[in-house]
Amino acid sequence: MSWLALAAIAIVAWGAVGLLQKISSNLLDPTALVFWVIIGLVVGSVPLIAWLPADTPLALSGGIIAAGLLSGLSNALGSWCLFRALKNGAAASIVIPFTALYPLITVLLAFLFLGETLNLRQCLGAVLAIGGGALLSYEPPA
Amino acid sequence: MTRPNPPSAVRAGLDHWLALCLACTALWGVWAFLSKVLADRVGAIETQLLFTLGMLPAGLIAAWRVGGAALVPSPRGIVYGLLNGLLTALGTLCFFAALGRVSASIVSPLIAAYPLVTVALAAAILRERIRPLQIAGAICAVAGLALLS
Repeated sequence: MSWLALAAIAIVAWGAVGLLQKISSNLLDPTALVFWVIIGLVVGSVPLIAWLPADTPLALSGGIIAAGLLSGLSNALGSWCLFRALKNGAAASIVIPFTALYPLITVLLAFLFLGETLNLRQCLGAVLAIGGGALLSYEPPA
Repeated sequence: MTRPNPPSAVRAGLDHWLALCLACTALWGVWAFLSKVLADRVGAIETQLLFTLGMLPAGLIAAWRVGGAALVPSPRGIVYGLLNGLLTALGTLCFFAALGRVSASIVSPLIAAYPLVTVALAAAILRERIRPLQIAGAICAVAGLALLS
């Protein structure tokens, strides 16, 4: 499958997640939601073991395992910081669009550590996509 | 003589919503970066499994903190929560697979346009009104998608 098709599926899946969060906000406490999301992740991910290539050994070094665990941890800790910020009086209308800017950090890290660069067209596209995502996440206070 | 108390001052500073908001943005940025590093080296499925394993402690802490009835609110709440998790899993798996094919500087900003789908679905299903700022955001996001793809 092409990377664009994969990205499109991710956009639709996460877009639907956003809708589900809207619908379920009065049914589920945010911390309970974290629990169920992780249960869903486990239920959805564990069967993938069956698709692991049998012929090639897993290239799992200690560093890779640490990076993998850190990836899950940083995502969970990020969500915790968001919930805590909202609990500490942050306006959702400011915090949610602001945190949607996180790919800017990824682009910066990818440039610094992986040497990734963008041409002018891609730069403009990245700014518009990230900025557009942030504007779309804006909801004025009720 | 009064002296500042550094530990509590630090705690208050880090517990300020703005510091937490910045920390969230940085941590998610690091998450997507680490995902790229992993997807390049071990593939999407392995990345997904390791990522899920890294999320597990948060799930256990959440279960411990909420506990009891709030954790199992209603059948509808559980279905929504689980569906949320399954769709998150589908999204992350496809994100990791895309990261294995092109640079994080392309995929990560492109995926950031996903609120486009949320707003469209909310308008279609929940009959939510689309605000002018969201229309501007949608135009930016679509233009960004076109330039990145």
